[in-house]
Amino acid sequence: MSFDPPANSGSPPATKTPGASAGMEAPGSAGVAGASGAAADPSAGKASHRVSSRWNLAAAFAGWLLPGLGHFLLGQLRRAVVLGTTIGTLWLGGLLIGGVSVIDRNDHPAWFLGQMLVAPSWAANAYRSNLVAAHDGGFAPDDVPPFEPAYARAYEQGTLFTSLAGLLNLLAIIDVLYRDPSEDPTPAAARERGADA
Amino acid sequence: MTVLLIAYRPFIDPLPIGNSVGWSLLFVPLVILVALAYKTIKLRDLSKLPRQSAVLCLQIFVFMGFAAFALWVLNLYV
Repeated sequence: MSFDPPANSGSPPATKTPGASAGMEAPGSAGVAGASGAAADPSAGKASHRVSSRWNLAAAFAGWLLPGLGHFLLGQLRRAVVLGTTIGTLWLGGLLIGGVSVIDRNDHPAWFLGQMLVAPSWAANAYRSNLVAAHDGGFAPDDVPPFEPAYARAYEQGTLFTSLAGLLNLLAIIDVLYRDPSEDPTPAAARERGADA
Repeated sequence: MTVLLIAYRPFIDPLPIGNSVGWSLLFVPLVILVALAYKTIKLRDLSKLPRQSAVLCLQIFVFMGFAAFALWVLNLYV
Protein backbone atom coordinates (compact mmCIF):
# COMPACT_ATOMS: atom_id res chain seq x y z
CA MET A 1 0.00 0.00 0.00
CA SER A 2 3.03 2.25 0.22
CA PHE A 3 3.78 4.93 -2.29
CA ASP A 4 7.24 5.79 -1.02
CA PRO A 5 9.66 6.64 -3.80
CA PRO A 6 12.17 3.95 -4.68
CA ALA A 7 15.64 4.36 -3.20
CA ASN A 8 17.20 4.77 -6.61
CA SER A 9 16.04 8.07 -8.06
CA GLY A 10 17.32 7.13 -11.49
CA SER A 11 15.90 4.27 -13.49
CA PRO A 12 14.38 2.03 -10.83
CA PRO A 13 15.51 -1.58 -10.85
CA ALA A 14 13.24 -4.16 -12.35
CA THR A 15 12.37 -5.81 -9.08
CA LYS A 16 9.65 -8.30 -8.47
CA THR A 17 6.61 -7.36 -6.42
CA PRO A 18 4.85 -9.77 -4.06
CA GLY A 19 2.59 -10.60 -6.97
CA ALA A 20 5.61 -11.76 -8.91
CA SER A 21 5.96 -14.78 -6.66
CA ALA A 22 2.68 -15.99 -8.11
CA GLY A 23 4.16 -15.89 -11.58
CA MET A 24 3.12 -12.29 -12.25
CA GLU A 25 5.79 -9.92 -13.44
CA ALA A 26 6.27 -6.66 -11.59
CA PRO A 27 4.13 -3.97 -13.17
CA GLY A 28 7.01 -1.62 -13.72
CA SER A 29 9.53 -4.13 -14.91
CA ALA A 30 8.49 -4.25 -18.53
CA GLY A 31 8.13 -0.48 -18.67
CA VAL A 32 11.41 0.06 -16.85
CA ALA A 33 13.18 -2.18 -19.27
CA GLY A 34 11.54 -0.24 -22.08
CA ALA A 35 12.55 3.09 -20.57
CA SER A 36 16.14 1.97 -20.12
CA GLY A 37 16.20 0.64 -23.63
CA ALA A 38 14.84 3.90 -24.93
CA ALA A 39 17.58 5.79 -23.11
CA ALA A 40 20.25 3.62 -24.66
CA ASP A 41 18.71 3.40 -28.09
CA PRO A 42 16.29 6.15 -29.10
CA SER A 43 15.03 4.08 -32.00
CA ALA A 44 13.85 1.39 -29.62
CA GLY A 45 10.74 3.40 -28.76
CA LYS A 46 10.03 5.91 -26.04
CA ALA A 47 8.22 5.69 -22.76
CA SER A 48 6.14 8.73 -21.84
CA HIS A 49 6.84 8.30 -18.12
CA ARG A 50 9.26 6.59 -15.82
CA VAL A 51 7.44 3.80 -14.08
CA SER A 52 7.66 2.76 -10.47
CA SER A 53 8.99 -0.63 -9.47
CA ARG A 54 6.12 -0.95 -7.01
CA TRP A 55 2.43 -0.34 -7.22
CA ASN A 56 1.18 2.91 -5.64
CA LEU A 57 -1.96 1.25 -4.32
CA ALA A 58 -2.88 3.88 -1.70
CA ALA A 59 -2.50 6.72 -4.18
CA ALA A 60 -4.52 4.81 -6.78
CA PHE A 61 -7.30 4.26 -4.25
CA ALA A 62 -7.21 7.97 -3.40
CA GLY A 63 -7.50 8.74 -7.12
CA TRP A 64 -10.62 6.61 -7.29
CA LEU A 65 -12.10 8.39 -4.26
CA LEU A 66 -11.49 11.82 -5.76
CA PRO A 67 -10.11 12.36 -9.29
CA GLY A 68 -6.66 13.95 -9.12
CA LEU A 69 -6.04 13.08 -5.48
CA GLY A 70 -3.75 10.18 -6.40
CA HIS A 71 -1.47 12.43 -8.46
CA PHE A 72 -1.54 15.00 -5.66
CA LEU A 73 -0.30 12.37 -3.21
CA LEU A 74 2.54 11.54 -5.59
CA GLY A 75 3.55 15.21 -5.69
CA GLN A 76 2.26 15.84 -9.21
CA LEU A 77 0.33 18.98 -8.27
CA ARG A 78 -0.29 20.42 -11.76
CA ARG A 79 -1.38 17.06 -13.14
CA ALA A 80 -3.65 16.61 -10.11
CA VAL A 81 -5.30 20.00 -10.59
CA VAL A 82 -5.94 19.48 -14.30
CA LEU A 83 -7.22 15.93 -13.84
CA GLY A 84 -9.40 16.87 -10.88
CA THR A 85 -10.87 19.80 -12.78
CA THR A 86 -11.51 18.00 -16.06
CA ILE A 87 -12.81 14.69 -14.71
CA GLY A 88 -14.75 16.45 -11.95
CA THR A 89 -16.33 18.85 -14.46
CA LEU A 90 -17.31 15.94 -16.73
CA TRP A 91 -18.91 14.04 -13.85
CA LEU A 92 -20.69 17.06 -12.38
CA GLY A 93 -21.70 18.17 -15.87
CA GLY A 94 -23.32 14.80 -16.50
CA LEU A 95 -25.18 15.01 -13.23
CA LEU A 96 -26.27 18.56 -14.02
CA ILE A 97 -27.53 17.59 -17.48
CA GLY A 98 -29.31 14.36 -16.59
CA GLY A 99 -30.04 14.73 -12.91
CA VAL A 100 -29.53 12.08 -10.29
CA SER A 101 -31.52 9.50 -12.27
CA VAL A 102 -28.67 8.94 -14.76
CA ILE A 103 -26.69 7.10 -12.08
CA ASP A 104 -28.73 3.97 -11.51
CA ARG A 105 -26.96 0.74 -10.73
CA ASN A 106 -30.09 -1.40 -11.05
CA ASP A 107 -31.74 0.05 -14.16
CA HIS A 108 -28.64 0.45 -16.35
CA PRO A 109 -25.76 -1.53 -14.86
CA ALA A 110 -23.66 -1.36 -18.04
CA TRP A 111 -23.39 2.44 -17.81
CA PHE A 112 -22.77 2.13 -14.09
CA LEU A 113 -19.67 0.03 -14.83
CA GLY A 114 -18.09 3.21 -16.20
CA GLN A 115 -19.67 5.56 -13.68
CA MET A 116 -18.51 3.57 -10.65
CA LEU A 117 -14.87 4.33 -11.54
CA VAL A 118 -15.47 7.70 -9.89
CA ALA A 119 -16.30 6.91 -6.25
CA PRO A 120 -18.89 9.69 -5.74
CA SER A 121 -21.09 7.80 -8.23
CA TRP A 122 -21.72 5.26 -5.47
CA ALA A 123 -22.91 8.07 -3.20
CA ALA A 124 -25.15 9.47 -5.96
CA ASN A 125 -26.58 5.99 -6.58
CA ALA A 126 -27.26 5.51 -2.86
CA TYR A 127 -28.86 8.96 -2.65
CA ARG A 128 -31.14 8.20 -5.62
CA SER A 129 -32.05 4.80 -4.14
CA ASN A 130 -32.95 6.42 -0.81
CA LEU A 131 -35.15 8.98 -2.57
CA VAL A 132 -36.97 6.19 -4.42
CA ALA A 133 -37.32 4.05 -1.28
CA ALA A 134 -38.73 6.95 0.73
CA HIS A 135 -41.27 7.76 -1.97
CA ASP A 136 -44.61 5.98 -1.79
CA GLY A 137 -46.17 6.81 -5.14
CA GLY A 138 -45.09 6.43 -8.74
CA PHE A 139 -43.33 8.88 -11.03
CA ALA A 140 -46.39 10.49 -12.63
CA PRO A 141 -46.54 14.30 -12.13
CA ASP A 142 -49.58 13.91 -9.83
CA ASP A 143 -47.56 11.65 -7.55
CA VAL A 144 -45.05 14.48 -6.86
CA PRO A 145 -41.97 12.31 -7.49
CA PRO A 146 -38.77 13.01 -5.51
CA PHE A 147 -36.91 13.77 -8.77
CA GLU A 148 -37.80 14.01 -12.41
CA PRO A 149 -36.46 11.01 -14.36
CA ALA A 150 -34.28 11.88 -17.35
CA TYR A 151 -35.38 10.85 -20.82
CA ALA A 152 -34.10 11.17 -24.37
CA ARG A 153 -31.18 13.58 -24.93
CA ALA A 154 -30.81 14.59 -21.27
CA TYR A 155 -30.53 10.94 -20.29
CA GLU A 156 -28.09 10.12 -23.13
CA GLN A 157 -25.83 13.09 -22.46
CA GLY A 158 -25.94 12.64 -18.69
CA THR A 159 -24.93 8.99 -18.84
CA LEU A 160 -22.29 9.71 -21.50
CA PHE A 161 -20.65 12.49 -19.47
CA THR A 162 -20.63 10.55 -16.18
CA SER A 163 -19.43 7.30 -17.78
CA LEU A 164 -16.66 9.05 -19.71
CA ALA A 165 -15.56 10.71 -16.47
CA GLY A 166 -15.26 7.23 -14.95
CA LEU A 167 -13.31 5.81 -17.89
CA LEU A 168 -10.90 8.77 -17.88
CA ASN A 169 -10.47 8.32 -14.14
CA LEU A 170 -9.56 4.68 -14.81
CA LEU A 171 -6.71 5.92 -17.04
CA ALA A 172 -5.65 8.30 -14.25
CA ILE A 173 -5.78 5.49 -11.66
CA ILE A 174 -3.63 3.20 -13.84
CA ASP A 175 -1.20 6.09 -14.39
CA VAL A 176 -0.96 6.68 -10.63
CA LEU A 177 -0.50 2.97 -10.02
CA TYR A 178 2.61 2.79 -12.20
CA ARG A 179 4.01 6.32 -11.96
CA ASP A 180 7.40 6.76 -10.33
CA PRO A 181 6.83 9.19 -7.42
CA SER A 182 10.42 10.39 -7.57
CA GLU A 183 9.97 11.67 -11.11
CA ASP A 184 10.57 15.39 -11.20
CA PRO A 185 7.40 16.85 -12.69
CA THR A 186 8.84 20.26 -13.58
CA PRO A 187 9.09 21.08 -17.29
CA ALA A 188 12.72 22.17 -16.92
CA ALA A 189 13.70 18.79 -15.53
CA ALA A 190 11.85 17.02 -18.31
CA ARG A 191 13.67 19.12 -20.92
CA GLU A 192 17.00 18.39 -19.21
CA ARG A 193 16.36 14.69 -19.58
CA GLY A 194 15.53 15.27 -23.22
CA ALA A 195 12.24 13.52 -22.67
CA ASP A 196 9.38 14.00 -25.03
CA ALA A 197 5.79 12.89 -24.90
CA MET B 1 -42.84 22.82 -18.85
CA THR B 2 -43.16 26.03 -16.83
CA VAL B 3 -43.95 24.01 -13.72
CA LEU B 4 -40.91 21.83 -14.39
CA LEU B 5 -38.66 24.88 -14.79
CA ILE B 6 -39.90 26.38 -11.53
CA ALA B 7 -39.34 23.11 -9.71
CA TYR B 8 -35.97 22.48 -11.32
CA ARG B 9 -33.28 21.50 -8.83
CA PRO B 10 -29.72 21.32 -10.19
CA PHE B 11 -28.08 17.87 -10.04
CA ILE B 12 -31.40 16.29 -9.00
CA ASP B 13 -33.64 16.98 -11.99
CA PRO B 14 -32.50 16.83 -15.64
CA LEU B 15 -31.92 19.99 -17.61
CA PRO B 16 -34.96 20.76 -19.78
CA ILE B 17 -32.99 20.44 -23.03
CA GLY B 18 -35.65 18.26 -24.66
CA ASN B 19 -34.91 17.14 -28.20
CA SER B 20 -33.86 20.54 -29.55
CA VAL B 21 -30.76 20.86 -31.73
CA GLY B 22 -28.95 22.77 -28.98
CA TRP B 23 -28.14 19.58 -27.10
CA SER B 24 -25.50 18.77 -29.72
CA LEU B 25 -23.47 21.77 -28.51
CA LEU B 26 -22.74 19.73 -25.39
CA PHE B 27 -20.39 17.75 -27.63
CA VAL B 28 -17.91 20.67 -27.62
CA PRO B 29 -17.12 20.79 -23.87
CA LEU B 30 -17.14 16.99 -23.82
CA VAL B 31 -14.38 16.77 -26.45
CA ILE B 32 -12.33 19.55 -24.83
CA LEU B 33 -12.46 17.93 -21.39
CA VAL B 34 -11.66 14.46 -22.74
CA ALA B 35 -8.67 15.81 -24.71
CA LEU B 36 -7.38 17.73 -21.69
CA ALA B 37 -7.67 14.75 -19.33
CA TYR B 38 -6.12 12.32 -21.80
CA LYS B 39 -3.17 14.56 -22.63
CA THR B 40 -2.60 15.35 -18.94
CA ILE B 41 -2.02 11.65 -18.35
CA LYS B 42 -0.09 11.08 -21.55
CA LEU B 43 2.31 14.04 -21.61
CA ARG B 44 5.46 14.08 -19.57
CA ASP B 45 5.97 17.82 -19.89
CA LEU B 46 2.74 19.66 -19.09
CA SER B 47 3.93 22.90 -20.69
CA LYS B 48 2.86 21.32 -24.00
CA LEU B 49 -0.63 20.59 -22.67
CA PRO B 50 -2.62 23.46 -24.29
CA ARG B 51 -1.17 22.89 -27.77
CA GLN B 52 -1.36 19.09 -27.66
CA SER B 53 -4.93 19.20 -26.30
CA ALA B 54 -5.98 21.64 -29.02
CA VAL B 55 -4.51 19.34 -31.69
CA LEU B 56 -6.32 16.33 -30.23
CA CYS B 57 -9.60 18.32 -30.05
CA LEU B 58 -9.21 19.25 -33.70
CA GLN B 59 -8.50 15.64 -34.67
CA ILE B 60 -11.59 14.41 -32.81
CA PHE B 61 -13.80 17.10 -34.39
CA VAL B 62 -12.48 16.40 -37.90
CA PHE B 63 -12.77 12.62 -37.72
CA MET B 64 -16.20 12.74 -36.08
CA GLY B 65 -17.26 15.14 -38.82
CA PHE B 66 -16.06 12.64 -41.43
CA ALA B 67 -17.87 9.84 -39.61
CA ALA B 68 -21.08 11.87 -39.44
CA PHE B 69 -20.84 12.70 -43.15
CA ALA B 70 -20.19 9.07 -44.06
CA LEU B 71 -23.16 7.91 -42.00
CA TRP B 72 -25.35 10.62 -43.56
CA VAL B 73 -24.38 9.47 -47.06
CA LEU B 74 -24.93 5.85 -46.07
CA ASN B 75 -28.36 6.78 -44.76
CA LEU B 76 -29.22 8.49 -48.05
CA TYR B 77 -28.26 5.70 -50.42
CA VAL B 78 -28.64 2.46 -48.47
